[in-house]
Amino acid sequence: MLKIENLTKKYGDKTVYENFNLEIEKDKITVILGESGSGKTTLLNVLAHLIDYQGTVSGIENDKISFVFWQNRLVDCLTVIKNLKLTNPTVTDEEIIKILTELGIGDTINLYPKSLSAGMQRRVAIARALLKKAPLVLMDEPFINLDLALKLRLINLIKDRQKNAPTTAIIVTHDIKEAVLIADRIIVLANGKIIYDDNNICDKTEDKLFDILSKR
Amino acid sequence: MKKVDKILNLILPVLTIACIFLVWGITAKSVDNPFILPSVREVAISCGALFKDKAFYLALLKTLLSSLIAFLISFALAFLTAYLTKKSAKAEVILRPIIAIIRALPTVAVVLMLYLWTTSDIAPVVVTMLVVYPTLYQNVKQALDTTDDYTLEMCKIFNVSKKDVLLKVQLPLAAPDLLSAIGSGLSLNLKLMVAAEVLSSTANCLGFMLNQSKIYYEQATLIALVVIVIAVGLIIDGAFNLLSKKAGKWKC
Repeated sequence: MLKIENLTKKYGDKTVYENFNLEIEKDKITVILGESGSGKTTLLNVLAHLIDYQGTVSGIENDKISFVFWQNRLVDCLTVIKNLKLTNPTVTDEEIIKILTELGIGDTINLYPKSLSAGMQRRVAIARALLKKAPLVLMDEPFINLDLALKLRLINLIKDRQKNAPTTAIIVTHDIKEAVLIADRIIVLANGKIIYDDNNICDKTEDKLFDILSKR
Repeated sequence: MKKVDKILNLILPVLTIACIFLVWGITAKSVDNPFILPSVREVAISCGALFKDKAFYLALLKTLLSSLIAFLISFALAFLTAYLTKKSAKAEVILRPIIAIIRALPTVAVVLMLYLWTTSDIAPVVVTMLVVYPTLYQNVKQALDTTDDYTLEMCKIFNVSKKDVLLKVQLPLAAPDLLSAIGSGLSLNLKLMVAAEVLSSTANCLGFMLNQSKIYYEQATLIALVVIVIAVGLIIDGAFNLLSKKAGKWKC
């Protein structure tokens, strides 16, 4: 179990979290929903120890985290294959080509990030995170800049991989449909507090979430 | 870039240089005094004479070597201090006044002081180092800033080794700006070195040859030497700009 206890985080005068607690079951996909400024990205940054905070986070091995950042953070001077080898030096070229092909960008291995479209860059960032095979994968708006067909393809790919090799995935998103399609558990955050927590995703979840978020 | 633009980019600089020579030719003709302004032809003949003179090559070699030594020391210092200031904000606060003082140093006064304290061979090297250092420091610092904190954060999350961060991320990202800075630094270095050699009366170098030409009213030789210094500077600058473009092929 991944535990966050008594988390307090402030940016200047603005309090994002105050004595926030959360437990996340391992090997499941947890989706964090919420409007802008609700603390979703801050939560991922706390889990990855990228920012200072007060409180305790346990159940995470620092060097065993994979991250799809909101900005792709690809290294501009390295080709796609070199970007993926930089962060995953032990993976073979075949493994890289396989995952890029699954993501529909198998022909981009020798291209530089700046010559790729935003959607292609996003898929390279996702490939980088999936290749690491870390027990904890953090994803900040992973499907941004992707069209619907591609989004569905990626969601299925992540779910398939989850069946074959379960990992703890925490996905931050704005999109209710995306959340319902991929999540084992959905948490809705507002002003640093949990206002909805559901691990029984069913046909009615989408409507419930729509009600909650539209009333705010 | 359109084909027409490419052709214009090649032709226009040649036309500019041709215009400079034309203005020079017309002025020399109207002055009609080779002691004041020799013609393009006379300077070309002096250039030819210099290229046949062994002493010229030795002088050029000495100036280039001194310039290179001064540059290497300056660059090493600039790289070290820029790296330190990137790592620690306190280092920048400590270094800021030192760099401001070095930047404000009057070159001629420093040459005169160094001429008393050191030899005429060492003084130009030290002066060139001091004058070039602040510009190089600024350029190297800018080049190192091309790797943003987000990229470094990504490397940390994905456990990229420090060696790989430096060799595969930071240096290649900084390479285009660094190479460009080295090119302009070396070119500036050469100009300063020649000026410092003239002021320090250093023997057997380009500065010495310039001084001799002035003393003996060999105006054509003097201008020929200046043209050669400009040409060498442009070649160095151009070569490093090409290297910089090659290192930055990922930018487009």
